[in-house]
Amino acid sequence: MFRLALRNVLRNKRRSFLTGLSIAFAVMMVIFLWTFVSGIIDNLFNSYVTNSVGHIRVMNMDYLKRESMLPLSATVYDYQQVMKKLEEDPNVTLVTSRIKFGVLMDIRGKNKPVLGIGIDPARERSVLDLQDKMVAGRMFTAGTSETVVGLGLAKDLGLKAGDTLTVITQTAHGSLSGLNLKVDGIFSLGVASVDNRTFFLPLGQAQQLLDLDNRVTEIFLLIKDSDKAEEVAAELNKKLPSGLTAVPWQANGFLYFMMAIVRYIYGVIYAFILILASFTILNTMFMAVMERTREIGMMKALGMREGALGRLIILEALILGVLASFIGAIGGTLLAYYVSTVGIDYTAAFQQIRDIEIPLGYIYKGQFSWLTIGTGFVMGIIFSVLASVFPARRAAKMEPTEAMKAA
Amino acid sequence: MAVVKMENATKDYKVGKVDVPALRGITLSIEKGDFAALAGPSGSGKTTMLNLFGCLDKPTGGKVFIEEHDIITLKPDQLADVRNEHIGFIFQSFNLIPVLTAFENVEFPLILLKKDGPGARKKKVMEMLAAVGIANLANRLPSEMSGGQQQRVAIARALVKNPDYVLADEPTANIDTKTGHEILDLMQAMNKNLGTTFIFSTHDPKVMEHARRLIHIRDGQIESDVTQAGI
Repeated sequence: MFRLALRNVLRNKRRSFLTGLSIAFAVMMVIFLWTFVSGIIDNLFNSYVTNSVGHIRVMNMDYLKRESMLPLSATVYDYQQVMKKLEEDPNVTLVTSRIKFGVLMDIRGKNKPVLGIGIDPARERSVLDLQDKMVAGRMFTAGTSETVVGLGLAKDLGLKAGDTLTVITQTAHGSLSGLNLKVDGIFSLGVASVDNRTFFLPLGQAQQLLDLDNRVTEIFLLIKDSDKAEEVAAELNKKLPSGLTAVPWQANGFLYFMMAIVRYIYGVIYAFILILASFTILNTMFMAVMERTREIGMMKALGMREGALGRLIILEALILGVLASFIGAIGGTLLAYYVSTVGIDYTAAFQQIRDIEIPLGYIYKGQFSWLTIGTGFVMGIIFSVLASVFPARRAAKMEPTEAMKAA
Repeated sequence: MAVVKMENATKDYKVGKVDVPALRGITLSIEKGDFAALAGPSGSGKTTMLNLFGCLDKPTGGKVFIEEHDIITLKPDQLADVRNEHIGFIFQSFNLIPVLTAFENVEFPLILLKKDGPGARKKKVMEMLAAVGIANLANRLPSEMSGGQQQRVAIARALVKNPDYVLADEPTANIDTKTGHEILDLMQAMNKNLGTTFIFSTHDPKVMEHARRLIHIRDGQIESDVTQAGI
């Protein structure tokens, strides 16, 4: 039976080749897109998590309500005590604290909002890891009056390593305060929205600048399983002093949308690509069945059962589907490997749209996964077989006398 | 002993909204070892009778018995099994599977029958190809053979499973006269040597001469049913 099916596939070589090509191409595109989109989503998630929302953040409830204003009046008091308590939770893998504050800076004659972030450089080693992201100079150490500036911002301000950055801002009490910071280095996190408008300084300097003794704007947490952030945050909320709240990353509507909805939307797109390709199988198998009407009638006359005949047609589609999906999977693997190691460089595009708010990297890399490749391969086969069911039924139900009359 | 019989069998075909009778009450019994020709002009009902004998179609009225099975009562898969086990077919236009070699074409019904292993199948196929005189062409595809050679493959395919009877629809219509005679001689030899029952249709008087039993059909009825002496 297999031999017969294989020869039937090879009977019209050009048609089988073209059909196979469309399946192979669909499988390749699905693997490539899946790899690429997973990579973008993963990249986006990591960027959002490390630069902004963490897995969970602990904040003053009032701060949460007005977070876009960066209100220094609603902060976390006795933050070191709170951090100690959070570190005791077995789900929590990292605790660090940050102070975010807004500064207006004169950039080419215009006042532009810039974000200053006070951090603990030692603890941030496993989060932001600025040490490894310097493009000039070096990272500062705790307790110094030093800063590192984002690459885009440094260009805008005409700063280079060794220069001095003067920061003037309002303190938590509303008075003006200023600080001269030595620019130790220029960093690039590979994320336009951060690199173009952020500078980092030691946490102590930020506290001094802003009159925030023993206070931070947020405590930043990483946990073992990011998918469980909502449950862990709910647990932590029971232990926190009143006025503070633990906010899981899912509370960020945009990120949640990207993680949940976009994956779903792309799932539909992959299915759509495969459905389009399976129409060629449907068409080819129908043509094959119609062309072989007499032959099918004869096989039925010789005593071939309906089921066996249907299985023969499906087996032909299966052979074509396996071969084509295999070739598509090889092509897809190569593309996936390329896009996940080299990536696609969007630097030029980001220079056009400097003020983009979405924290995406300049170079998109795919997320290489054998599971994706295997799924693409298997889906190619499944769709090929499904598309042949209808023609197979048609062949099985042919009346032998009618079929043999056909010219 | 009858291998297949019809009892007052009728068959109507619908043409548009009108029922056109193809068979008008045929009672006929084919005996084991018969070499019978169904003769008559086009449209007389020969092919319809062969279709009923071949379990390819069911009668509108009356009964058709094959080995005591009333084919009216059988489901499509059961009909397929009856065809597979009891009936061999030879078609006017050979109807070999074009992607299979002569050997594989002859082997095909044995695979459907699922009785023999590969070794036993090979032995039967080679014996049958030798019997029809084309053992040397076993590995050729149908497209690499002449019409006469293809019809020999078709005869081997019909006989290889040792059926109760073989149906042949105008078996010489698509080949030249000389080869046609050779094919008829071969069928006669198989009838004589293996005792295989043959029922074939024809409208060629030369072919009718070969038949031991000659059944004339006209307008869906039996006109005459004679045993020809000396054959």
